[in-house]
Amino acid sequence: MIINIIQSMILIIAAPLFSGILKRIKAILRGYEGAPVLQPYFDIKKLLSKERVISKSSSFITTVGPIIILSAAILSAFLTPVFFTAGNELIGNMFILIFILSIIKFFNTLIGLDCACTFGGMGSSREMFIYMFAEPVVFLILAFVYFETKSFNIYKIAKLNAVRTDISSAHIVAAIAFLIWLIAENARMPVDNPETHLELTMVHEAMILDISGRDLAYIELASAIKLAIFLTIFINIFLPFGMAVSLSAAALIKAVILYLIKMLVFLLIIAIVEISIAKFRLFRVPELIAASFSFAIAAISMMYFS
Amino acid sequence: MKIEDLKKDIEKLGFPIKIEIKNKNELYVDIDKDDVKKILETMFKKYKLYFSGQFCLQDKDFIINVILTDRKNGYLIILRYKTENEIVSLQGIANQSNLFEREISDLFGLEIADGEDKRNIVKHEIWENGIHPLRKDFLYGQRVKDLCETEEYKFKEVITDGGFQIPVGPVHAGIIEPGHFRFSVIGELIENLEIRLMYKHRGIEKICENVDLNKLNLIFERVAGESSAAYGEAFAQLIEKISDFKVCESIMALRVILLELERIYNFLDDIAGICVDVGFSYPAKKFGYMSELIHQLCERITGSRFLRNAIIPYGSNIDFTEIQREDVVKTIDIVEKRFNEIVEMTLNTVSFLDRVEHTGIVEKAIAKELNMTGVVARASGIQYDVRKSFPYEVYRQLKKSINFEEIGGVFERYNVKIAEIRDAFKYIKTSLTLIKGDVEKKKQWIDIESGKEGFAVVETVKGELIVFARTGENNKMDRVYFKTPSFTNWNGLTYAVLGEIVPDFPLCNKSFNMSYSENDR
Amino acid sequence: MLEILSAVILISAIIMSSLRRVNLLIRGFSVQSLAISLVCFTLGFKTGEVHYYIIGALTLLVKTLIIPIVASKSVRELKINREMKLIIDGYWSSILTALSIATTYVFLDNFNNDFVKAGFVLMVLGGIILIGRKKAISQMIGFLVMENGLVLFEISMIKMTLIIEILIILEVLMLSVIMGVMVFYINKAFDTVNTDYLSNIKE
Repeated sequence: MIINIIQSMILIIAAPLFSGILKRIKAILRGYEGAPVLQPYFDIKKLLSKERVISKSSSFITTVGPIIILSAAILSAFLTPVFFTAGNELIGNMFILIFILSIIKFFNTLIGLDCACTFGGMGSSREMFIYMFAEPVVFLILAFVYFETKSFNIYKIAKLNAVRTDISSAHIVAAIAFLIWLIAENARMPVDNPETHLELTMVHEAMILDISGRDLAYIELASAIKLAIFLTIFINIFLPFGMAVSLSAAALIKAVILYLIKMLVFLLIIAIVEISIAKFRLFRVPELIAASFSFAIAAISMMYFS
Repeated sequence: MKIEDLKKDIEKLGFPIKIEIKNKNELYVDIDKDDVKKILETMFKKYKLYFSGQFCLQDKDFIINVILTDRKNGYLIILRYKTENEIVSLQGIANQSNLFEREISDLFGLEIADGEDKRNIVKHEIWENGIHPLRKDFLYGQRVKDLCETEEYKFKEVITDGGFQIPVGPVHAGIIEPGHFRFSVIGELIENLEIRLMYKHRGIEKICENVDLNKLNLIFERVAGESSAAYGEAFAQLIEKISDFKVCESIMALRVILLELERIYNFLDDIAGICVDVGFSYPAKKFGYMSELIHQLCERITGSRFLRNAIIPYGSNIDFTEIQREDVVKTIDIVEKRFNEIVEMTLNTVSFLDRVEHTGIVEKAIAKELNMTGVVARASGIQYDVRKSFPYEVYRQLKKSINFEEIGGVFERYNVKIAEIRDAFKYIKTSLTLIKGDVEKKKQWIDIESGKEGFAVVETVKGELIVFARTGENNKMDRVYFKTPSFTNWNGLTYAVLGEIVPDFPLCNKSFNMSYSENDR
Repeated sequence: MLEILSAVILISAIIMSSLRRVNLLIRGFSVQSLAISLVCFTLGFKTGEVHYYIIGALTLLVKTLIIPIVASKSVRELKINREMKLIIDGYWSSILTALSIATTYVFLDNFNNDFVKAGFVLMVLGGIILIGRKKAISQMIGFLVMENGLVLFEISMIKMTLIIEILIILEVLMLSVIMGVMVFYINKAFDTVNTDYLSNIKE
């Protein structure tokens, strides 16, 4: 129980570090030095000390939205195994986790609409457009995971997959489907460009355009946590080998090191993908998600009919 | 056709006109105000001339000048008529003439006689009423007060179910100059785009009338920071043309090197921008890096990253010796090699091609109608390059062919820009062989009598720049007029984005990359 | 190992079914063929039978190297790299792919061999590529994907004699060469490789 709380705390605290590392890797791959990996922490600290400016035309949503987003992100971090799982936890139902993460998206969209700015509205409409296509895919993947492990509990899934030795081709296909969904959901390339601040192309950034100061810090922190959680879920469902299933020191250390290595590898993969392809045209994003859908269906059929 | 023959030919048309040839390729045709439309129509039909601009001079009366260009022979034909308070509107005959007429109307306070579009262009709502900054009675140094007296500007509105407007600017999220874009969209599709510019009218033309000729090149270079060398070149060309002076070939070649360096770094920035706007960050950073290398080279040879104060009339303001020559060769070689690799990479990346191909298309007919010039026009299939039609410096030997593409989309503009960069590398190398020995810094006093006039035509990175100047008393200009390429090219963007989706606008915009400051002047 | 390879084969087939670019299709086909030849080598290593090695080597040589090189060369010469209009667009062909994969697995529930199913899926997806495109060269790729399915089919259940297998591969090679030449001539004669124009001829 305590170890679960500790590992989730570590995940929350380390989340900005992961996005800092991602930015740094991208910078190095493009041939310049880039900001230090701790930069996200400095940014959040700077934003926390800044004054809060709220648009006159906004309602209470903008006031409470950022804090709800942050609490949803933190809550979902406590529902995720990071490097330890006993497999008998009462918490950790995947549906609850997915819906809590949807709260983040929902309030982001509301904030975008709330400040009565054209760009916010555009961002919200685009976000919903992508979300509408992406959401069914995750349920298909959950169905696949259920066929594979007969469980919807992420702790149990992680444990079962951690001790599994053989790896089926359906598992790999489902992992690819999940990866595409992860990219779409976290507003990464090629769906959305997290670096741009051009008013007219932004999706995620457009919604939080009118947020400043403390609120912006909350949202930035929440999106860093969200990315870390998604990657952790991915690692724990599809690549949980080496996860600690018992509370021995050796197993825990091994699990932490393996977790960090896996995380770094995935950050590197994301970085390489992000620098080497151009962003998709907005109306071609559904094609990408349709491919993910197709992968998920293929994985389910392979799992169920074998 | 020789210009004398052209003169005789025009005289035969049977209108009451007076023709004068100046500076070898300029034909000044004084006509009657009532004949303007008829003469213009005959000229278009008979000689295949292109309408390039319109400006106003103030003597006792106002003199309206219509600039026509003969792109085949390199002649400028200027139709002039006197008027007291109104402009004969050429809307419907000469394309885009509404822009020029509205500008004259705002700056000189003349009425547009029978035009359809009489909206303000320079004047914004914040201006005080009854003020005409380019008139001689408007004192130099006087400021326009913020009184909000001018009537409101009417935007075109698209009214349908589900249609709405997105106003963007004039203050943007990025650090760019002011411009207001009014999108009328249905969902994400752009139905109409209206661009409103001229938020920063600096009154450069007025300043030019009050600065000594020996310092005037600095003002010219400030019209557009990114094309400093081209504007400096325009000034040098103008002064040398008026005073009938020819510099030696080494200096000419040196000027070409500077002009082409400017082209390289501008187009590198442009294609880097195209890559940034599709989120393709690796080549974007690399192109940016190369552009920085060229900037540093510029600083080493001229002392200015933007090549300022290097090209001056009658001589050269920089030394160019063996050291600089080697520096140029070495840097160009490094950049050229890297450049070809990265370009090859972008052309092999499918996700990049998916974004840029068939996006932001300006058809040839529209480009022609809008009088577009420069790279953006050549991407649409218009084969016009000032360096070929009005060869200046050593371009007569260098520029043998014109780079152009057919379709006119973002990808074609990207390709034309790449071809221009490759040409620039070639021209720099050839020009280096034309410099015999060292070029020494030599500044000569400029002193020109009043009443002389002339035109300079230069290909800047954006397109065709036409500068008119007439000298006045005290070694100062009496009137300077810039027909900047961005002034007419901006409207191409409104056609390029039609039918595209809103997120593709920045890409189209970047592929045009028109200048705000040279448009606003 | 075999699981990973069959996953690669399936993933490449699913991705290919929604691609628009000819040269990406060729690259995908090349990756797929490489995976198939590796499958052959792995099976050969496991069973010790020579004929797996021969099929693997032939697949590697013909489908991973020669055909993609010939195809990309003709793509480059014909400049048909451009986006083509699909009969079934990317989105719908992904959905169609998903449905047909599910159907295939439902029908083949009785077979206990992964490669039979994968082979069948490849044949169906090859069919989707074949009917969904207009350009002759991508239809050829669709046909080759079907042929890849046949190879998978063959190595897993039906013991064809080696000679028939070799003949099939040679036939496919001939097909690709002929296609290349033909496509080139169609292009020269009619300035297009869009099969839509073939129907214009009779009018």
